[in-house]
Amino acid sequence: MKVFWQNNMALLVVLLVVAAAGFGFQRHLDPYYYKILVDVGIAIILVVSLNLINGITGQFSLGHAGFMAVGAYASAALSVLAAGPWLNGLALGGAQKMVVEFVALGVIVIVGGVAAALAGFVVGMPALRLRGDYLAIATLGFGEIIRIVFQNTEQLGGARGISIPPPRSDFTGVYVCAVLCVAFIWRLVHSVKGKSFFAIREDEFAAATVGIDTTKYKVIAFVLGSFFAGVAGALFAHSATGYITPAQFDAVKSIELVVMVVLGGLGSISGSIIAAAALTLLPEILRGFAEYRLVVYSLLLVLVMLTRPQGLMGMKEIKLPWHRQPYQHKPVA
Amino acid sequence: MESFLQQILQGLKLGGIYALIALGYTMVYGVLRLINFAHGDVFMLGAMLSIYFARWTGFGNQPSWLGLGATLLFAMAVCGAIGGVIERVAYRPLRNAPRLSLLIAAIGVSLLIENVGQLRQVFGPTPQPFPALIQTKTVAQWGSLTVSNVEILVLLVALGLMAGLHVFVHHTRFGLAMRAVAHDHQTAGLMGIPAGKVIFGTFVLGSALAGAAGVLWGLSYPVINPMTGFVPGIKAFVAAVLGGVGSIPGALLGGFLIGEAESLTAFYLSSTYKDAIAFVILILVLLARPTGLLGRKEVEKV
Amino acid sequence: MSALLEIQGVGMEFGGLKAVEGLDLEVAEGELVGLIGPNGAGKTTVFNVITGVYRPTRGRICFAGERIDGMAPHLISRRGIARTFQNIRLFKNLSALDNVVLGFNRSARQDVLGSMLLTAKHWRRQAGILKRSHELLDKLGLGLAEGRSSMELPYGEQRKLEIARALATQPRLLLLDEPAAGMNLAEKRELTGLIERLRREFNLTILVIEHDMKMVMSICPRIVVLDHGQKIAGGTPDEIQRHEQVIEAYLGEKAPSA
Ligand SMILES: Nc1ncnc2c1ncn2[C@@H]1O[C@H](COP(=O)(O)OP(=O)(O)OP(=O)(O)O)[C@@H](O)[C@H]1O
Ligand SMILES: [Mg+2]
Repeated sequence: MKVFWQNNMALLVVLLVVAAAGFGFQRHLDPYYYKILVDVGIAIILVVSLNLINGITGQFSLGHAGFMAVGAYASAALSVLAAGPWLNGLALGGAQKMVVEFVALGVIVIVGGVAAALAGFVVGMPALRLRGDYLAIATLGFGEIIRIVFQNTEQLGGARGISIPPPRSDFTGVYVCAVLCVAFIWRLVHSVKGKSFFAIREDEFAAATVGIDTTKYKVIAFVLGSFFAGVAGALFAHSATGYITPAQFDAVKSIELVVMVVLGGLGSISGSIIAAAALTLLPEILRGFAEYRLVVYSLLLVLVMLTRPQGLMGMKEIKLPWHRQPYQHKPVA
Repeated sequence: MESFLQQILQGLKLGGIYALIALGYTMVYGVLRLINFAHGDVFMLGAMLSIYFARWTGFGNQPSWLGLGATLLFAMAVCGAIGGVIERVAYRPLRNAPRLSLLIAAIGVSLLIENVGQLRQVFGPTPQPFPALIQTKTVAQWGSLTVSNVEILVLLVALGLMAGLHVFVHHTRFGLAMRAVAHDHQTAGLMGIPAGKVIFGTFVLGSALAGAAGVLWGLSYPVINPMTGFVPGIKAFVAAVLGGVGSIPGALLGGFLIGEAESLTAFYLSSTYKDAIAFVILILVLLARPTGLLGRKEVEKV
Repeated sequence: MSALLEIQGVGMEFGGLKAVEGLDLEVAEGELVGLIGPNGAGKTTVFNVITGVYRPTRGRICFAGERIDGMAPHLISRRGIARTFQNIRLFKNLSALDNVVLGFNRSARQDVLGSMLLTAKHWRRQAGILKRSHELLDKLGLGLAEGRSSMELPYGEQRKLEIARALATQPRLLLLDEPAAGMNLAEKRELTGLIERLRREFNLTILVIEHDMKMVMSICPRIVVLDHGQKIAGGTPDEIQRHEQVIEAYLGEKAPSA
């Protein structure tokens, strides 16, 4: 038990800090900046989870927005049909309301994640037999099909979109999810078994000959990646705007996410976090240049690739100072 | 029955254009193993710049065969040049970088073209009408089935260019070199084939075809904006993969298949599902034949 | 007792090319057998069908009494067959230590929840495997290399690291594909000693492909010769050296223009 607490102390502290910060930001931060911060948090979840598939396991998925859509719509359906009316009926106020909404958000987010994970499993099982560019184009196709299906589902608002009742995903909710997502994926892929994900990316064939069930790990990566995409989707659907349309989850969104993964460095989780934050902030920073901002954005993309094709971080990681190792070897001299 | 035939005709026209674009994807993929994301935007530039050309020369005001021919040649030349420049500036420096970086560079170029195009000083975000380079006429009619000269023209030009490409690839030294590079980069290099030049030439060639496709698209769907290239681009790429990426006959087959499927889906199911059908077919085919309909199976040597 | 590895009438065709044809081969527990033959004789292909890379087009392969032909590579690995590659296939961007840890992956349980929560039990298991990995690296003289990414290692160490990774899977049968290729004399001599030592220490049965005749003759009590996919001879080094067909096969290769 002692080891468990030592291992998780830092994580708990971070989560508490996030909660406290969320509390403060809600009162004292300009809503515009608050919204950008929330967007950054959602982007981090999306990019880190996509990195698990594309960077760490080396499978090239171009359909992440599709799984985000599944999470968003599943959670939206839950909120519209059940959670929203139920919360409304309770007519709570004050601290009580906050706690209940936070818990409700947790349930909604998990439902979104599970729905996306199921979709990921259904898509991943057949698709992962394909390799490289074929997998890319097939996942792009799945993403688009998912979007078009939502577009044609009138019960969910069709192409017009659907508006979603509270609870709202605030800073605390989003960043608790982001921190857990990063911590879980990091811990998984740096465990002994979890290194299999990297092994598949390095040499799928050699991985099989040391006994790694490559198909299983590819599916795990895909399902887990989709789960977090669904979580992000649910958070996105419940963000302040409270309105989603299928067009928000199109191929362009998927491409944007791949771009962030590559810019951060394929396989580098810290790189993904930096890229997600930077590329979400950049268009906002460039807002002053209004119509030139997208031009600058795309120009930067090309320039970064030309000067640093391995991305910002390559495969390197920034390790936190309290990073713990299960075993420290004393070399026999 | 007639409406079915009418849809088939529509599909042929659309498919011919997809096939022309798909050829560029397939050729570039063949020599460089790159999904050239910017290809759809080169296609858009072909259509867009033709508008300006027709305006500037006055061909847009009086439909004539000369005007059409000149615009077609102009679009092919300009797009060929643009394709060449893109290869030199954005792709060549990444020849030895990870393939995914190259892909991101291609995405970057694509976004750049789209976003520069949307600037007010360039094309602007609003759609622009494509001039009637020839007068649309009904040339044949059976019952309610009508065949217009534009449909015939688009199909003939597309098929003509493809036939030309076939001759070029199979009966010229450059074509031979291109096939050699597509087959095996390193060996081709060792045999003294200048792979760099071949890749450059392939981009020029593929982009010129996309330019022509742009004009044909403009004749059939006469509103063009800077984003016009994205969706047809992706569909043409799907067509290339469907047929077997790297295979020129595959691009043809894929192009026409997707064109037909779309046109029939729009008519018999719903036009909102039109954009999904290409992907549904793609996925079904890939699951049965992971390298596409006419693609070569590659066995990994260990 | 029956042989550990039994290959019966195995054939492997690649679209008309018969890389291996009608091969019979038995390897008893504890043996060290050399597999030699001119370039392109089909030696690596034999390894590939044993380890499940290719499903043989003909014949059957049994390992410890169980049929393994057509089984997936990872399942064959788990039955106790490990290999190295002629053209080194390490996990290039991972550290030497991680390469060996991955070899041990079968000994670790996949405990997704445990690894996410870093439970004490999970932590202990991780520590155990890390410890064993370090010890294995030390044993092969790679202790100092553990933190470096495997592609930065000198060639000879990469070959040894591949052996370490294979050993980590705790095999009964080890297949070595030209382990001495590209090594200098001193390294070869060290490798010879190492193979002997590991064989005894880990109770290994070894099948080794090697082009260096002197080395094969000196370490393998039994040698099998392949040519054009077919077994042309088998026996002690002495017998092989005097075998007419073998001499012909090698001479034929050395003087192709004659
Ligand atoms: N995947 C494959 N597809 C087609 N042909 C193959 C394949 N693998 C091996 N071959 C062919 O099978 C034959 C035997 O090859 P193999 O690699 O087994 O020879 P080898 O005895 O290991 O040679 P070397 O001493 O050069 O390593 C060769 O002609 C080779 O080209
Ligand atoms: Mg070999």
